[in-house]
Amino acid sequence: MLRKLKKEEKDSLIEDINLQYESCLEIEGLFLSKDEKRESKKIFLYTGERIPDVPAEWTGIHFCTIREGTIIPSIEGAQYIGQTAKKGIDLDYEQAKYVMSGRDVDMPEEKEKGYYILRSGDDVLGIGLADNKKIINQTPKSRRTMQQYRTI
Amino acid sequence: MGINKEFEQYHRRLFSDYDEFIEALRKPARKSIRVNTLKVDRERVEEFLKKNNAAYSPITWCQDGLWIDSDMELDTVEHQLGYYYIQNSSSMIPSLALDPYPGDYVLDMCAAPGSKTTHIAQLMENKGVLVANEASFVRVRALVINIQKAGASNVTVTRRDGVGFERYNQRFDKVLLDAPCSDIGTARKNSQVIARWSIDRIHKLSNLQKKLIASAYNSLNTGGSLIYSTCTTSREENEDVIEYLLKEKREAILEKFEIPGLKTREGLTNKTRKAVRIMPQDNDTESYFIAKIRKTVDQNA
Repeated sequence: MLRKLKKEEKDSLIEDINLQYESCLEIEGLFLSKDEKRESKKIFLYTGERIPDVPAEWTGIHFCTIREGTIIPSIEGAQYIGQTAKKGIDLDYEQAKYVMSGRDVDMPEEKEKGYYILRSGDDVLGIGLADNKKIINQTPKSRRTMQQYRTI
Repeated sequence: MGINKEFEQYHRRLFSDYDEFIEALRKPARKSIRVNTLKVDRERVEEFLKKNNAAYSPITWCQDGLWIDSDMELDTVEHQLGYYYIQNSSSMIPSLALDPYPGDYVLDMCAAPGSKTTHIAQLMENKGVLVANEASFVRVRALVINIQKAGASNVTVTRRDGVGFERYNQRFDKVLLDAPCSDIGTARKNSQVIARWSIDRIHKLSNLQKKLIASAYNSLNTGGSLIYSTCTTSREENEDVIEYLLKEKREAILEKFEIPGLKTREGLTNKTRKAVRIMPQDNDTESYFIAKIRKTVDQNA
């Protein structure tokens, strides 16, 4: 069941995102919340004029998951947060290809453990988990290229 | 490509240029993509294609469409980021014929895997309301993945038999019914569709399509428009379905429409001349049938 976030809840979520990713996200549209009683809560972004009165399987796009207070954006969520996020890691195109094929990559620079927005030039690739000099891959299976790359 | 006799006899009666039609079907499908302007502009994708030395050219009837005339692998980082959708060039036409606007209330009744849904969302600039329906549970998953990848945030996905939309009386401004069909148009990428073809099968599909079009029409607001399309050739699945609707709904009007840059042919029967047939030999595409129907006020009601 989806629940529309109230204005203050939306504002608070955006504030949390901006704090966590050191970004200046501003966004139009509704935020909808799902699985509120579970450990991981999913947030959807819906930009339609109004929610249609039909029994829905899915509404809008998955924007982020909130797990134990940590906000983990989807690729699309990361693309919104994207370019303004200071908490990001810049990769070259070869590394981007590895990330999008579902592989871990070495960290180009040392970072504190946690989630970072992954960028390659102007492209936002989604999110990666920095851990012990590696970026642990977070690309969903459904979004990985089928091309195989050797681990670098 | 094995052609069964029943198929040949049927289509020779249908098309005076049957031999050209079959010759075109024997050619491999020409690759094409649609730039997803919800995420990037066309220049970004062109820059990527140039970097990969891909031969590409614009599709004349779709401003965001590009032919890819090289062996370049299209499953790329850019594809997975949602910058472009790998889509047959003729399947871009129904969404263009629907002509959705940002504030519209639109239904895509048989939406999976989502090529037209995401195209419609793009034309609506992620505004208005777009309901994408798919009856099959498995195909809903593919639909959702493609909606997400495209960043199509004005879409609501439903899973129900399209016939069930009859109860949503007068709800939508525009409805796209890209109906399940015998898929002959896709023979260039899957020749099995010709082996599967039979008169019995097209009659069964025609019955389903008639139920679906009645439901789609019913869900339409007065003044609204319905695009009926299939990627197949038989009269039973195309012109007969339109004639059925025009007979059942006196206020339904078949409207002429044009897609600039595309060579089209008229519908095959007197009552369906305003519908459009797209032949593979005319534009190097799949076969397609598209009809635009307007719901008007019934003056006799």
